[in-house]
Amino acid sequence: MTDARCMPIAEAVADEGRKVGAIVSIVIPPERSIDNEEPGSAIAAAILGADVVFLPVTLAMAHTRAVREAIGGGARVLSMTAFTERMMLEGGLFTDFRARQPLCQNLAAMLTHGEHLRVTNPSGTDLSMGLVGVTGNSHACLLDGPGFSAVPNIEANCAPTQGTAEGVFVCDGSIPYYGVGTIRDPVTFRISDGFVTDISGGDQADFLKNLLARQEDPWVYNLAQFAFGLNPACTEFTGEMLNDEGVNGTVHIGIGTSANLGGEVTAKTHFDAITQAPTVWIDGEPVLSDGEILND
Amino acid sequence: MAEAKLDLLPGARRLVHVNGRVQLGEEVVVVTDPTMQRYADAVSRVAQEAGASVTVCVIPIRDQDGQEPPPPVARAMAEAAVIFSPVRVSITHTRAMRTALEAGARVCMMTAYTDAIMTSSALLDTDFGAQADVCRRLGAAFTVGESVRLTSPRGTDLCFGIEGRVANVLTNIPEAGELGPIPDIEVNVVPVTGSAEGTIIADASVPYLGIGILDEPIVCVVREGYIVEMTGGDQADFLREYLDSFGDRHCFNVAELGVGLNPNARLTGEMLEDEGVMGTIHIGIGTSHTLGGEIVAPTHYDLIMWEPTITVDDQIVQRDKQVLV
Repeated sequence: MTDARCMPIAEAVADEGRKVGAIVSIVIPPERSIDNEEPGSAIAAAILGADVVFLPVTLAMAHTRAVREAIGGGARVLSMTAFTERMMLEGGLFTDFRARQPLCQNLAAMLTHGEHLRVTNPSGTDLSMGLVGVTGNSHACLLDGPGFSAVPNIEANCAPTQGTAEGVFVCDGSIPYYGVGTIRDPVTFRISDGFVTDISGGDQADFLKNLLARQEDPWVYNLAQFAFGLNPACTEFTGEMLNDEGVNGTVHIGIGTSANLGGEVTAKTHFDAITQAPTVWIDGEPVLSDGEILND
Repeated sequence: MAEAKLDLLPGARRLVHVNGRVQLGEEVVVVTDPTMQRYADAVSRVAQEAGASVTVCVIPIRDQDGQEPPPPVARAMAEAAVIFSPVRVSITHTRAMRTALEAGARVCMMTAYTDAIMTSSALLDTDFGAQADVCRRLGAAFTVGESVRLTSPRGTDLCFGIEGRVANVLTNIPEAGELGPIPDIEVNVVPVTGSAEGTIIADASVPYLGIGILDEPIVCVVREGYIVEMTGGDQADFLREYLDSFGDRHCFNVAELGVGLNPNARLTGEMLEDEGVMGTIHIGIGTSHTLGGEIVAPTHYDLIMWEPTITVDDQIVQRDKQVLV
């Protein structure tokens, strides 16, 4: 599934798919206005019939009901949102994914078994959240069965216990959505009872605040996700979504829809905010220290 | 995808607004292949401007007519209110299309489209609404009729039964569950298998296999529903030898009488325009199964002729380009 802008990348993937003997269809969905907006019923039906779905699209589609149902139908879904030619040539895509998979699975298991998580960073982050009843997800970009992964973003994530997140998250890395990109003035999210209650900082913070207000949907403020970026070949923020989310030793929060991560919320959109040099404790045990993955 | 050329947009507007009657909020699915994406692009752009939810599916180029689209595309088609199909190789006679029609799709077929068709008077200037009425009247005459006699100034004289056959009425303004090959406004009916007797003299076109407009008429002698002799010039020899190469007599089955009803269509050697030319009819040979008959052959081609007179039972239904019912 693609659009006019990502078509060269879609065609490259399609060519390779045909070479291995797959039957490849390229599908261009109706124009959408925001990341993770639900596509039409024709698109939902199309991907429900697929064995493998590649999503080189300008606006993210990963966090939609259509994708969730396709996975339920047995599809292996590789998200390639806002992929660039650079990402096809170098960087995260060329890492040894199999070698990184055990660490990713291990962190996902810690999110599953833990009850409480706290994250801080030098920019002023201090956010706590519950992990009770939570199942961690290991997205190591390898689909051995039906499921979802975003290449080359190796991440372990979860949807925290609904309504439990409390504190401050200061994003000093990247918000690779809506054209925001790498962060100039840190964006401070105040979070209470699992919802973002205030966004402040520079013009990027103002832009984001206004954009979310325009959605007229209270769920777009839901703290939906906590994730570790784990790709050693994603080394710096470039504003490219799936590079930035995978930068090794960073964490990000996702805001909006949580349904595709095991949560209950479906919102008008979903975006991620990435921060650097985090220290993370699960049930008081340090997992990351200033961006260093312990036991890596 | 390439930016749609401006000169394709008037044709796209006709297809979307007049033929497809695309409405605000409708699910539109455009099925195309890598060779036809410019037409898909133009149609999808106009449909989007009309407020439809437009999905474009680019399928691999099919090896032969009637091959099924991939399952994901078939499923998308089943969700569509309107389908446009600019593809090089026809997907008309597929299970995917039948399923979409049963689910209520209005289908505008655009098989083997060209810039010439997209900018033709047949597409841009035709009063499709008026011709839809003519089309339905002639269709009704075939459906209630029992026998047909077909003659032409060149010497065609063919008789066949149509008792029990239901005419296929291809107006270019399809209702839910109908398909229309745009701009080929056409009524066709399948002769009772084995009943055709006489002579077919095609003097206009065979819009397949690179044959196109005929330099010399193709003369076919028909006995008990099958062509037993095909003579004429090089084009006749080429077609006969090609059909012989399948080693299947059903390739010579008289499968269809099709009547062209687009007053602006011109003979160009291109399928969707030629078959719609008002004042021509075509005799389809080969498979009749896809039109409601019993014969399954590996091929179906049309022989087009000028200025036929068509008599159903004892009533003349068409003469001198005029439909008389």
